[in-house]
Amino acid sequence: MTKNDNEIRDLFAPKSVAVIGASHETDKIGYKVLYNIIRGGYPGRVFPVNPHGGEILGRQVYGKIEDINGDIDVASIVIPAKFVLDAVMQCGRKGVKFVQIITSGFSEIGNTEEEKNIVAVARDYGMRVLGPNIFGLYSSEASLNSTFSATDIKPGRVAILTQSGALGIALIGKTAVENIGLSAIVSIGNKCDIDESDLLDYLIRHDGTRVILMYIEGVKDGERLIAALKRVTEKKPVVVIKSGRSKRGALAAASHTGSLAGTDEIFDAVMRQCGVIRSESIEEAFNWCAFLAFSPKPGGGKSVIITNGGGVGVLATDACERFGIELYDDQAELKNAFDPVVPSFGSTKNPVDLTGGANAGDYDLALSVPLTNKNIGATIALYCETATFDSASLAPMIEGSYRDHMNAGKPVCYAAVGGEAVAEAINRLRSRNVPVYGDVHASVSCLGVLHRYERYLREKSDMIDDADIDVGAIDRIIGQALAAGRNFLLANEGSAVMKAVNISIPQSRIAVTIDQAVRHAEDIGYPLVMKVVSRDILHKSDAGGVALNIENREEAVDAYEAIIQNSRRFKPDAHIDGIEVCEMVSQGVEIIVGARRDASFGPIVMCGFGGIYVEVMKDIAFRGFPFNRIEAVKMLKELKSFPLLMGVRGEVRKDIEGLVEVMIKAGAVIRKCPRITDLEINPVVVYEQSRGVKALDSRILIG
Amino acid sequence: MEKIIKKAIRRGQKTLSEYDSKQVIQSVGIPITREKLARSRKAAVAYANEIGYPVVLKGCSDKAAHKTEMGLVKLNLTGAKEVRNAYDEIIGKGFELDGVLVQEMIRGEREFVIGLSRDPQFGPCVMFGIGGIFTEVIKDVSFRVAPITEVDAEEMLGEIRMKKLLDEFRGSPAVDRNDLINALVSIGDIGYKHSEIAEIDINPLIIRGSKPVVADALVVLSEQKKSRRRAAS
Repeated sequence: MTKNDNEIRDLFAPKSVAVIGASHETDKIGYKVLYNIIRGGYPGRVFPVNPHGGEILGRQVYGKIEDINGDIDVASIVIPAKFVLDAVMQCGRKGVKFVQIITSGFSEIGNTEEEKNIVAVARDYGMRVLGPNIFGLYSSEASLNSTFSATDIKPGRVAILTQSGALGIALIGKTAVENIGLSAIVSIGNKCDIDESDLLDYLIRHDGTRVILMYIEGVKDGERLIAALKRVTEKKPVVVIKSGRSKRGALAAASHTGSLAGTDEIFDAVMRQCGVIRSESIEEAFNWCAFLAFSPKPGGGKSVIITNGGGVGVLATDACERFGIELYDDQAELKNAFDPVVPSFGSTKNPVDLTGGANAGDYDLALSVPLTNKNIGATIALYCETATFDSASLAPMIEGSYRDHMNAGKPVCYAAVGGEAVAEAINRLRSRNVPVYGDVHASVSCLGVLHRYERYLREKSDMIDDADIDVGAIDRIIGQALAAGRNFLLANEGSAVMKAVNISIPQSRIAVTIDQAVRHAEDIGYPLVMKVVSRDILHKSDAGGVALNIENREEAVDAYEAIIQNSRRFKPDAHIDGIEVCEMVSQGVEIIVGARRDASFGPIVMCGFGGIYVEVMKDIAFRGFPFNRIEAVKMLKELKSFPLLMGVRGEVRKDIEGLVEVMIKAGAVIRKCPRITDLEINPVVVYEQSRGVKALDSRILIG
Repeated sequence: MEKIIKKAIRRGQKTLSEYDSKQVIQSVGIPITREKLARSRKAAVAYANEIGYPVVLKGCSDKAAHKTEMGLVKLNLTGAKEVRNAYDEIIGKGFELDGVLVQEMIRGEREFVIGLSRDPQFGPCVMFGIGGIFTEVIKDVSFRVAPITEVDAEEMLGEIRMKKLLDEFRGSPAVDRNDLINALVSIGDIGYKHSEIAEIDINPLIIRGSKPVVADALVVLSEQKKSRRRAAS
């Protein structure tokens, strides 16, 4: 059974907590957890449990949980692994709502059985389990710190969900140094029951949480995570740090899709699809979270860079381009707005250059322009240390303009480059959550992710575009193949699947007489290829058994006769089964379209450039579900070779719409036919606009 | 090489035709397609028979930099009849041509590009990268300022993202790296020694088996202001 979201709130705002394994010994985790709960000012009831009894930190210790009088919402378990199952059972009998098992020594070291038993017992009692192998939980809503962190936790707006215990504890310390206040921090550990999705459902509704930072190592129920993340990002931004980027090719090369789909690429694609911002480093993630926690949303206007140095202005311009931040460039309006505050040898172009002589007063004036100018949506303020600027006024200048921007509801970020005085100012300002950095790129990246997130909200679509496919026919084909003991489909079965989903494939028929060949030819349409079909002739071209580019009836007749004659001459005793009449496939852009069932994220659609470069170039894109035409087009645009579809060197645009339909159909097949594990259409030849596409070959794995 | 360039300069050409470009490139030891310049339909067929089918026919002129778009390229011609038709079609376009180039058709899946350009600050630069239709799209290239050594050239081969294509690939043998290295060094030397050449674009350089062969190339000549100034002084 699964508890609803109201109940998960009890984990974050319990009225009473018990610590099973509370200890007298101050260096034990069982002591630290109790100490943190009490020191953190938790207002609810706290019950230490330990068979030795007595008193710890002035609280009466209970021999077992069942001795406690009154309800227990959360029990923290801090005893050796072998006793945990028994304690969970006791908690169940007591009617505890949540157990958080801090103890390690379960599935992370291969002890999976015990963990399963714990979950089974908990389910029997309708109890939920956090952990095991965690450092606990902090919740600002209940002023509850049931972690064994070494430092106090400052309440604030950022929630952290972490899969790593040690890193999590360290992050708590770092948040203290960086002065990032936390609304919650939860260690998820082995997530035997409660996982990220459950916790996100609480954090969506928790008003105190403005940003969520997640550290993820691996994903268990990806489809549920996608749904939960999409719900969250609609309301608040999520930043994720994921390790394991380099772990490639975890899935064997059963198909191209399989071998190309290193799980990290899929993770990356899915996160983007959910509007989650992925960071490469802890530093970056912290900067972004701190910024997103306080920044207003960017309005409609574009950004302006205000600087006293040309060099940093150029660096900021480069960073803006990288993050897709549009710079305001109405020259007349810029001149009009900034002319009064820029010296004649400065520049009113964006970046607005106040020049090296600018003092705090000049900055104040310039930074007040965006506040009232409706065309300017956000400000990037840069400062290079100069002798003319009184360093003592740097921090007040920045803080003043920051407050003004906040009041005006406009995002602003700062970068200040210089020596000791600048470093001191930065530290002072950062402790008050003013987004000022010693590096231009770090500063602009904050505004960049804010824009990225807003762009996601504007463009997102949760629709699933369906396709009309003949599932019954596909099921029959799969059934026959499985009955024949195969886990893959043969070429003709693959072609039959393509027909069932209405993806166009080259037509081909066998003729045994000239009349029949002509009929086939007229049916299929010219130009055509004709080939001899004979088990005795392996190299058809050598035998003169192939005719290309047949353009009309007469040529078809000639070709038929010539092929028969040539083949007879080549090998008089050859058994000729007939002549294959095939549509002649003309050249186009070759694309690979695939779909597969990912172990963690479920149905995945893939596309990439086909031909010989597919493996080497790895020019591919992935999407999970919900999948629709908008996402399909975005996938194509992500490909480096996308310009080839738009037409290079004077070519016409290709039939992107036709290709998108194939992608939608591939998605529909993988979603509706659970027995198909891998589908790969390679190549899909894409012709000029409205000329359609053609699937030349397909590989389908079943199971 | 000097003869071809001098003649082109005298005629006021900005570029060399494909035929002349490849003659220049061949003169520094880089293998090119077997080809002959035909000035009649009969000669075209004779050359095609001599080279062996399939062949490619291309209208050849220093003014035909975009041969494909101009309809001056006919690929994969498998017999005399097709060569005759292709010849007539190319001539029929009505462009002023030096002749029609009859060329062996190179089969090879891997295509690279070698280039020479002149940077306003750094001078002659050699480029190596992925060729064919992907050149502009993928921009998987590596640069060095000329002249370059064999070590530089070797490094360039290792700098492209798709360097795996140089190894054994889908049943094709590994590319002969020495041939590529020699070609890069030679192109760098041209850039260093011949200021009258502004740019060279070898694209595609097709790998046949393990051997690179220049399938198409363009030599761009430097603007002639300099020589006039020299003449004046």
